[in-house]
Amino acid sequence: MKSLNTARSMLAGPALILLVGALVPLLLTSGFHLRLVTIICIYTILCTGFNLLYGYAGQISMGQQGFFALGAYAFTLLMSAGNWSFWSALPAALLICAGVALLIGIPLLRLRSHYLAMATLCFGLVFAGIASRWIEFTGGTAGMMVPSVKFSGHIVSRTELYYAILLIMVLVLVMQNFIVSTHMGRALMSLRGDETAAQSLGVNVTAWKLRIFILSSVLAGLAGIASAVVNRQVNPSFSEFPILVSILTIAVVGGLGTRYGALLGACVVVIAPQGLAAFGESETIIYGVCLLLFLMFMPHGLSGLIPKLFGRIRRKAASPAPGVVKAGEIKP
Amino acid sequence: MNAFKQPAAAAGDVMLDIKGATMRFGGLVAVNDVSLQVCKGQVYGLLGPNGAGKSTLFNLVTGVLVPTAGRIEFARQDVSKLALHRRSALGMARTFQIVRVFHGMSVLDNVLMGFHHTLIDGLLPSMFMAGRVLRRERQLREEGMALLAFVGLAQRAEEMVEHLPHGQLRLLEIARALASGPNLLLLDEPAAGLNDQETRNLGQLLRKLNAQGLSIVLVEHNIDFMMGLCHRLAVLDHGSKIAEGTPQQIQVDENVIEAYLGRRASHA
Ligand SMILES: Nc1ncnc2c1ncn2[C@@H]1O[C@H](COP(=O)(O)OP(=O)(O)OP(=O)(O)O)[C@@H](O)[C@H]1O
Ligand SMILES: [Mg+2]
Repeated sequence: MKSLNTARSMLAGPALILLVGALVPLLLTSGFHLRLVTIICIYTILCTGFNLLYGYAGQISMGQQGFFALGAYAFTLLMSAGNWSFWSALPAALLICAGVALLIGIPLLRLRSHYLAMATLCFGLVFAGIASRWIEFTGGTAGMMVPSVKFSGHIVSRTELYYAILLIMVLVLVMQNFIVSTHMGRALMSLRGDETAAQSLGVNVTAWKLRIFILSSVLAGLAGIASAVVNRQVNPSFSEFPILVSILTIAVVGGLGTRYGALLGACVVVIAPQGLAAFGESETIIYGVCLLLFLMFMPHGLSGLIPKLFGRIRRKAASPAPGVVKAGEIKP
Repeated sequence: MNAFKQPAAAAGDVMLDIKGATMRFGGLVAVNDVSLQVCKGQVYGLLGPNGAGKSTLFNLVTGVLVPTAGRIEFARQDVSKLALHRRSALGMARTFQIVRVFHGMSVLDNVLMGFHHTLIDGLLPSMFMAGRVLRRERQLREEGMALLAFVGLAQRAEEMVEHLPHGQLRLLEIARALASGPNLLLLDEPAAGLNDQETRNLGQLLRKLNAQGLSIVLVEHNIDFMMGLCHRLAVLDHGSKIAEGTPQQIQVDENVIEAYLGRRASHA
């Protein structure tokens, strides 16, 4: 019965998200709004990886934007310069992300975690440098066009693209839920706590750090590919600072180490600037102040509110047997 | 004192064999050429004043430290240089002098960490065998709950570990160690910070485990607790083993009285 519960808690959220996500295009009128929702999905994929890496396993990477760009560039180059088909360029680009993460990760993950933060930050900077300066190969600051995706002659429309990315995001969330509700999630959480204790219980700490770093990099690459296809182009801005700032903001606003923090945070980070644009010059300041308030008063982000809300509703419903809170409800 | 009469204690099957283990930290010799054998079914006690090297010896056996010299055999296998994370699979489990639980996780999840070495290792293999992982996860929860019930923490299973008082954290660490299915359980000062009642309960718990055939190595400062529980004791002082024997032998050993009990008396 418990495993049924686990399975249900793994699938219920993503199913609801899929349902709502599928209805969204019917409610939206403009292509611009559809684009925003697509970007939310892309950011959710990107930040789910970051959340697993930092929120659950406590390993900081400051180079996720580098992998975001690496995926996008590798995919585009394979498609255009290499003339590869979509179905071979996609996995190949993801494999490249995994390979680069492996190379960076092997020497670093044996050390303490801030070395990983430094090295990944460098990776992001180096990648941005190469992307803008190696003009013959990457198109320099102008970037490259991404050929439109075609399946047997049919050019994929914006709406179809949105549905595809929505589906990928939901699958990524299911995978995340599966990881965090089993021994894999426990192993990851043991890394952020006490490595000696984890090891003496049989956790191969180095291997698990490497595994989750590679997974988060592959998810960043996947988001980058989606972004390239949606924007129909790649350029060095993919690997630049604003993306990193967005990742960190989403993590803080949504709530680290929670299942739906990435999605909640992505909604806020994509939608809020639309409202703030009215403030013109002072937009950045207001944005910064809001972020600071979040940090001060909502350490668990928006996800921290959900159990509270549920708790209130439940109390109002006068459910019997108070005091005993079930695991699924207090756990992220 | 009926603990001494247990036949298991007499069985000569060596489980842990420490041969001339030495550990240096710079100029300090924390463990100096210590040899001892723990047999199957034994409760083996380590006594010694503060800084004698008991925890360091524990760390050598469990792989947190690699001995500077000497050899450590567990289940007839040389484990002196075996990686820390490979040891639980061999059947040894430990608790720490200063409790080490995983924060941000529930009490039950902490216990389930003990099963880790029996589960599918890696992300991809686990995803390919998702069904098996989920089924096993259900069994684990039942087994974990049974262990929590055994140490008396069943009601607190779903709480976050941060909410548990010190005494219960010690029990939680024992439950977690038991989850890994050990043949040898190493406990570093399990009664430290427990009140008299809790200490008595702990003693009973350990007796029960030993009666089921589990071998135990125990470090404790509480002499009465040790004398009542251990089949055999060794005394360390300044890193060296100065005495070994049954509780009766240790109590009258002159070296021990001088190095340990005598020093205690002079403190008072
Ligand atoms: N990692 C280390 N680096 C340097 N010195 C250490 C280290 N670990 C222990 N020591 C030293 O080794 C000696 C033995 O320490 P150990 O912790 O093994 O003693 P102990 O018998 O467990 O004492 P206690 O009863 O206080 O727990 C002490 O002098 C201690 O300061
Ligand atoms: Mg000690």
